[in-house]
Amino acid sequence: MPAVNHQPNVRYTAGFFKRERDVLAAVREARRAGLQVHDVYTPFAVHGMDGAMGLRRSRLTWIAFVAGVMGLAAGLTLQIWTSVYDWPLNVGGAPFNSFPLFIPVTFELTVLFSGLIAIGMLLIRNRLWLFSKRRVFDRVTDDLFVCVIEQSDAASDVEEAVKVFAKHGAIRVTEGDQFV
Amino acid sequence: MPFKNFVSDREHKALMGLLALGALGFAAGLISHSARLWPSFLLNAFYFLTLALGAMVFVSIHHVSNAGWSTVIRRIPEAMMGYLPLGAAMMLFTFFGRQAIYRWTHEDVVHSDGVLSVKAWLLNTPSFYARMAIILAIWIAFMVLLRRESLWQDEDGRLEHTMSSKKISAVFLVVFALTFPLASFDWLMSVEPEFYSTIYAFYCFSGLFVSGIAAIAILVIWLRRRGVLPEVGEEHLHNLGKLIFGFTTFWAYIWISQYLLIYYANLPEETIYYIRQMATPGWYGLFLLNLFLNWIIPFVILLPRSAKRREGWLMTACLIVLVGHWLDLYLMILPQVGAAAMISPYDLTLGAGFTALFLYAFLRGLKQAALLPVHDPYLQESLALHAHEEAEAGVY
Repeated sequence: MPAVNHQPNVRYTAGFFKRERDVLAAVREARRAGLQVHDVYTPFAVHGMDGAMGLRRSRLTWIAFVAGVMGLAAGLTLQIWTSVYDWPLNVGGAPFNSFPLFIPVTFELTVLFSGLIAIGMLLIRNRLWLFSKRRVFDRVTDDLFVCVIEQSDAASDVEEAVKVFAKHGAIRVTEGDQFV
Repeated sequence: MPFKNFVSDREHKALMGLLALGALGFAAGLISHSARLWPSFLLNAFYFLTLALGAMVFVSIHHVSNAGWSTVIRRIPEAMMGYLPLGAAMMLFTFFGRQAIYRWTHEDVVHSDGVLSVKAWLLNTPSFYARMAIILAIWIAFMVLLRRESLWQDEDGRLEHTMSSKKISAVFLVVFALTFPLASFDWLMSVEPEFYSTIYAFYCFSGLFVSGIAAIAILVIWLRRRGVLPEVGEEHLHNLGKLIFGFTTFWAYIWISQYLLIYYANLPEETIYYIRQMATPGWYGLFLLNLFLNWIIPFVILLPRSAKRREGWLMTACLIVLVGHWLDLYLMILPQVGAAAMISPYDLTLGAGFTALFLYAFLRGLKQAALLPVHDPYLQESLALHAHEEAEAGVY
């Protein structure tokens, strides 16, 4: 384990793990020890991580729901306006306002709005838009799991974090202020 | 008292009561109104057969997809599969009432009807019931093979049984995909022999699968409340809830696909199917209720994550889906034989009797083996499904 430099302006301690269950255990223990887990970076979605980090429920579902309702309204308005009011179209003798015929387009637009807006909001919220300068840890998209702990004013924080990381088999511990 | 681990004395008596009620309804119908009784018999026989088949498809998909999470609940669909022979006998029993159900069994009607005489090579009594017997026998054979591997593994704990279950399931799914369309075309679609819809089999399958999973979920929750299946956690319920949520929507998707094309094309031999379902205010009411029970209500109930994880909400949604699927079959059969919209006492008493038969077969299956497949290599994975994190986090 490399020695850790104590610098006054350093704000985060990061532990690098090779195994999924190690990082899960480390996160749990860190929170139990009263440390502030800033975020955990993993190559894939780790089952149980949300609970271990004590994350609040994502509000993305509400965004997706509202976007879906918008898509629904847009789909219905588009079709009813164009083929009932603005330019009534006779399709196979069916009434102008043939609701069943409007369902496929309405459905597609609901899904499209909901999906695209949810993904867009996810990327914006995570600051992962195109040309984003957000820093990526080496190998974290490949085979490493990184747990980042926020340092508070308490002097013992860093040692505590390093201890937790070491106990759960971290292969490396670094500090920095560029993680956000 | 044969099933004392699972049901109390009183419940056992209630079950016998339901069975007696069914027998009584059947006898009364036979005497007074057999034209109404037999379509209702077909409805209930097919309905409960689909629950057993849904469970079998569930088990097969579990094996083929290497699913780990569902191992703790696998014995429940396996026990439900046990109804298959009884259900098959009930389907074959419609032979005695075929003239009240299928118009094409009347020779004079076939002779005077050009369309029916062309279809007579397929729709004639001997070949119809021969096909039915063959298809049912194939399904039962696969059921026995699958169940046997599972029970053998309990005894000797060998890995080979998991492997062969996988192979049997894969073959069954293909065979089922080929036989079930034929079965649904034969048994249900030919109730109105001039009507045809190529998506009909898919439609039947969507109903079969969602109601099968709903029945599994209800029985799992029931056993969990009894305290005999404490291994099932919120995560397992959540997975079942997700499947039910998804497949009610799948049902709605197939429903609209069938309705929309028939509406659009406006061909008389196709539209008659829906015209009969919407002809009177009574039928139209049931037609709309069907959409609410099978999709809109369960969709809204199961939309939030928390509802899929809570016994009460999940149970409510599943019961609604089960009633909805019954109503769906009611709408597929009864309008086509010219019945009135009003649900008759025969439908309900036969439904009660078949419920009792189904539960007997199910309880017998449960008793046959341990509730957990103790030597299944996936059991640990299934038991550990997020078992630790929720309590600790305390946020959900």
